[in-house]
Amino acid sequence: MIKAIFYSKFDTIEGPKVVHQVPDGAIVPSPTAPSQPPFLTFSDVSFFVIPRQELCGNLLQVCTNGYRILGYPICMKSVRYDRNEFIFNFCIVLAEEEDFSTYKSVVQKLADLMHGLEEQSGFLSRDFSKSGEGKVYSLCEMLMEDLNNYCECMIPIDELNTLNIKLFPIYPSPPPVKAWQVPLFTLRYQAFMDENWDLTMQRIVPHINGVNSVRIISVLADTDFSLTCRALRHLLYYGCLFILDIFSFSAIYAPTAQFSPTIGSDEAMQLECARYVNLRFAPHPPTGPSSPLPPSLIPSPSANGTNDSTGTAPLSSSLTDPSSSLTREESRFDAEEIWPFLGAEEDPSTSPTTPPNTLHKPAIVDGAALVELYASLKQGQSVKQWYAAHTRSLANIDIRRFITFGVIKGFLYRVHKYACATSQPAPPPRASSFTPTALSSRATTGNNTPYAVSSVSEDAPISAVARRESSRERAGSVVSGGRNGNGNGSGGAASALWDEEEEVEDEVLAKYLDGTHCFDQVCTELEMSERELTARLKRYPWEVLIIHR
Amino acid sequence: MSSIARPPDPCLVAIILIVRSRTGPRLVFHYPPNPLSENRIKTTTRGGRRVSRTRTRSKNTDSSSSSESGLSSDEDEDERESQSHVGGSSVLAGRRASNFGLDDHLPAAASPAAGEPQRPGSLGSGRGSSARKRAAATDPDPEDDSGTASDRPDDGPGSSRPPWESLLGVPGSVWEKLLSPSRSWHKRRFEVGINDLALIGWPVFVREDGSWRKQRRKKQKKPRAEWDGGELGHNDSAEEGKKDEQFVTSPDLGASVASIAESLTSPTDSKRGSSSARPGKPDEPLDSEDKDHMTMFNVVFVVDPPLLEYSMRVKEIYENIIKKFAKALKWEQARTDYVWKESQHILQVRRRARETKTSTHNLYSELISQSPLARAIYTVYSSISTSKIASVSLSPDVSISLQIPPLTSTPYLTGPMDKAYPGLWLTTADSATPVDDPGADEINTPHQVLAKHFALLLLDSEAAIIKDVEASGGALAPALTHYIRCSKPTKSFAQISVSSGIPLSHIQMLSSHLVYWRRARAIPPIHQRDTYIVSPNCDLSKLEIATIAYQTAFPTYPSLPKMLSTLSGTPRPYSNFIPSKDHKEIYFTILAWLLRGGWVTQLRTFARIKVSPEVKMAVEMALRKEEVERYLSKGNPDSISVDEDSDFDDENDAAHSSSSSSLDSHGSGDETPMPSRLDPHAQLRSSHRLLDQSTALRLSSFILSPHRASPLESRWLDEIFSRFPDNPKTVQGDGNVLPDITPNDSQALHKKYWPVFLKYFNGYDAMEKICVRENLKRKLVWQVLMRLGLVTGPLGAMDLDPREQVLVSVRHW
Repeated sequence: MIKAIFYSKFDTIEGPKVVHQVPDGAIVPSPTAPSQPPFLTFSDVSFFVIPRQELCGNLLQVCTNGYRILGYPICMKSVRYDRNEFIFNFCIVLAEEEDFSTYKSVVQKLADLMHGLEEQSGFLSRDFSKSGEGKVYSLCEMLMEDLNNYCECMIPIDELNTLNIKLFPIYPSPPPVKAWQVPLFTLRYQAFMDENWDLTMQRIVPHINGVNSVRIISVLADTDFSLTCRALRHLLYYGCLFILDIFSFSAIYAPTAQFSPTIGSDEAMQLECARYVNLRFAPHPPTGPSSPLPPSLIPSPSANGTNDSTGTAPLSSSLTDPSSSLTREESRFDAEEIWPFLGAEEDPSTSPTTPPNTLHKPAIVDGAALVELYASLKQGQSVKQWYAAHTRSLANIDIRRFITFGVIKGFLYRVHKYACATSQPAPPPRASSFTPTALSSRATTGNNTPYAVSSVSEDAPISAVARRESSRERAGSVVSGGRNGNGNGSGGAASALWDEEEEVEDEVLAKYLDGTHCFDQVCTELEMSERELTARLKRYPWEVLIIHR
Repeated sequence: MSSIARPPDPCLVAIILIVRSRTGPRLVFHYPPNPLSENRIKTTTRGGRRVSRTRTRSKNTDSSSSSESGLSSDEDEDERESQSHVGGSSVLAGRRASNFGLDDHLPAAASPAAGEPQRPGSLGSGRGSSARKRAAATDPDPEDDSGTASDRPDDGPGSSRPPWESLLGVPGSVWEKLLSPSRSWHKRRFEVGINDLALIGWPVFVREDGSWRKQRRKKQKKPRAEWDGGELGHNDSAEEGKKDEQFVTSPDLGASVASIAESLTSPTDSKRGSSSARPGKPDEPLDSEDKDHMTMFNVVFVVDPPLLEYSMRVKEIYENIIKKFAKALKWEQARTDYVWKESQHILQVRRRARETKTSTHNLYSELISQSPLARAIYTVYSSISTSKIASVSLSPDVSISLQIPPLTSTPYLTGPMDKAYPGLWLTTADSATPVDDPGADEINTPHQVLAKHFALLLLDSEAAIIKDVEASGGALAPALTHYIRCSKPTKSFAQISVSSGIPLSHIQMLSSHLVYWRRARAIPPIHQRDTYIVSPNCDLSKLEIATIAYQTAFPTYPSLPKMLSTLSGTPRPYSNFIPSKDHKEIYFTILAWLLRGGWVTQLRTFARIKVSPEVKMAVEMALRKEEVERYLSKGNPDSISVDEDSDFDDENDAAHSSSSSSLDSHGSGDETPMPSRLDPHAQLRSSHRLLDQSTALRLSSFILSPHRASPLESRWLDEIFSRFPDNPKTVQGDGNVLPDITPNDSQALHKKYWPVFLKYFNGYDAMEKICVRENLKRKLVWQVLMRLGLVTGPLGAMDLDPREQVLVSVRHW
């Protein structure tokens, strides 16, 4: 909020002088507003308002008496002025503690404009109107009023000049975008995109869906990678995007310290979560509460041999549009129905969290149950293992959205894996002395879900058939996988054919093995799946330790 | 040590000393001699300077790190700016990675050539558009021209104006005028900004009577002794000059520093009358200006904070450094006319240097070696700008320690979008929690007095710290040494107090001191049954160096990566990794090492009580029954149904306002708003209300703060408690586990401790605290907790009764 605006100039007789001030009497006592006490003592700050020549042309600010004065003194030299120079300054007065960053540009722009006007027509030097009158005064008055009330102004000055100012908030510069990050829109881009947008931007936005990694986006959109990153960073700056990680069923997630203040106690967030993850609100209705999973979810990464380089599960594309489900459920929206149903009763041992179903309605996963599900995610346990332990509760829940929700809200974090090569020779193949705790991976037995069928634990680097693909083929498979949602089953056979292709060189691999590159990065950059990477690391001549962080 | 505790970013660019006397203001000294280009002089030749001064890294050091992704951030910025009308300044915000971004603001700081009518494009929209242009070595921008002009004397010392007479491209005379404010700033924050630089000082004026402090005669001991004011870490005796370990009479606690500083000002003031030198009356002027008197001095710190952190950074350095340093100078000025004498000395040397055309470098080495004040300013600059503790000796008698207290821990794990401080200790252990009742013996602000249940983790080797302490030789050094020897990270302050005989309050004070001066950290005591994980915030980029250091410290044990890899995976109690009893000590040492470097963090367990629909229904039925009985007894059967209903609503409202108070606070997820935010809740709320009665009863919910439960929640808790089986069928095994407790006791164990533990089930207090705080056996506590539904690991043989499984637990740091 601007407290005052004043125009000051160097008077050859009087020295620094306040010519106009809004509000009247705010800077120097005014005969027309005797009741207005000045905010500050002008003589204290006159040196900053009308400084030495050397400092003119710089943004100056000074704090006094609880106020902050922002000014941009201009010194113009010309023979038409007394003493051949004219020094003036339009200053904005703010409360000292107020954030002044947005006003810096205002002061500067004002100074620029006045400088131009003075040059063109002597706008300022020929303004002999009394204090509180005239064009310059009304300009200050309107500027302050408009900026305070509307955060913008458009003040016509003459037939050629208009003062256009808009206050913009300033955001922190977003960090660089990485190839293995996954952007997700915070809003509906369709609502504000138009054909004037940058071409790269126009091409990439349809592929931003919370599933595709940046690299995949650039492949799908056929755009230059660095341009893609820049466009995404631009969207990030304006808060249009979240950055997520690559979701896969071998990934590990665990709660953060934000757990209790957010999902743990916020019932509104639990409802929001239920709405977001409940398969009933997905655009394609699920086949029914008794079905363990809708068909759209079936292509799982672990069962999918043609799994793309990022490990991204090509889940139903319909699930990836966060906003599409909003409008259609309104009619049947109901506080009770928002909660996902439990799956059908199975072998009780597989559904330990099932509350006793004593009520007449179908058993639901309520807010507390959602919290329990989140709380049961932990370090050292992959999503797949977690799913296996909670099959029944998760029967009608979109797993990816469930995880994503927690990551977005900040109460879950992804536990990344880092490989670190030591100077020890590699242990014999089956010794697998690394990740000792993870090695005791739970046997995922007794489950007939697609996730568990091919349950080679990603944590247990054993017996995975190495598969390598060329980037082109993989890109192709991504496209088909994403669009058709198939590739399940056939992938294993197909990928076996690619075994013959060249393997990643040790030297190439070596530079990723210093403990600073997470698996997502390695997989993305070397274009291999996590399982391939794990298998490859086993064949690395030196011992490789896996650190979960 | 500063690499362990991540310090704040001081953004310090330069320090300027201005004094004013009858003859006018004088720029006495500034350090570094050539700010904003200092760090480049060493690496590039003179000819290369122009290039390096250009804005290749303008505004945002992200660009340096973004290169790997092939992203040129300068261009990126241009693009952004062209879209944001505000333009350049917006981008200043997120600049700087680790260096101080010294060149960021250089052109901004340089003044335009005098009389140049055109704005020199130093700021704002001009920046972005010309950023690339400026990256070229030949830069037409007037500001840079003027910058060059100011450098020129530097290149040719023979020119008329010595290089040190100008600063940041602006002649000293301008600074003199700018930085010697009017008396209205006396002992107040003086803040001036030039483009992106902020100049902050705490000017001190001579009093009307020519003295430098109020004449309040309360005769005390000699004035030197006063300056042990704790807030300054000020050492009063010459021998112990430079050690920041110097002990002081009050604990140096960051939180209380400001207030202590205030309170100490006046006593200090009151004592100066006894000092030998009359204030403001220089007894022995050094040169011809002998009739001159100083009327003001102002130590101005030039900082270049990122725009978005402006007020925070300015406040940090002002409160912790500027004010304290100026106060110390004021005190010395009052005592021995210190500032004025030193200023005259410095000016004299400078005059001589101008005559002899000494180079800047030689002048500065001479000044720093000859003048304690110049050396003090040099020390402050070089320490503070690298986030270290500045141990400054103003004179043989007086020295102070200054620092900006670093951030030592955070509960927040940064996301990919946030500014990260890798290596910072990730924990909630030092946050205040609901159980820390201010009324209780615990102080709920952990930084004021360290709670007695914490332990001390030294951040350096015991020997090294003791050596420092002994070298400093302060009055409390023996106590400190003794305490450090007794201290163990596995024992809480209270336990150490018992075992060593040092009173608890002393221990807390001594450890506070060590913590404040970055020698130690307060942690929950290390215990082998606790679980530790690789910290998600650990700095893996330091892995290589740390591995070597680790190797040196523990040569015969598994390497650091191995250790981290072992701690990865499913969390387990630390005892699982200790091969044998004999290894216990060394493995604790290893753990302490890992904790110190932020490599691991403790995984702690938090729990809340879940109220199941059955419990709610039972309570509901009981309530209804009571209602009915009440009305029946009133003999008012007609109104039963109506009243019952309304009453029923009330109950539900109560339940809602207490347990779901956040239902309406839709903005609670602000920091991470959801994608689909078209407010489904408006309509949800209405429907929720209609369905309140049955829905709320059909859903389980949590009791958020059991120690402040609403009436309805209390009923629920009572109901839960009453449902605990009196004679659990599974107790038999427990008797064996706890041989010291009879089977009968063990049956009632969880009933017995339920009321004690209840207050910890709030989601914020770690279960690990219970045994320390309640002084109970760890085994017993965990057994009770497991019965209540805590799942921390393999359940073992314990057979659990679902009626007792009321806790929902979550584990994080």
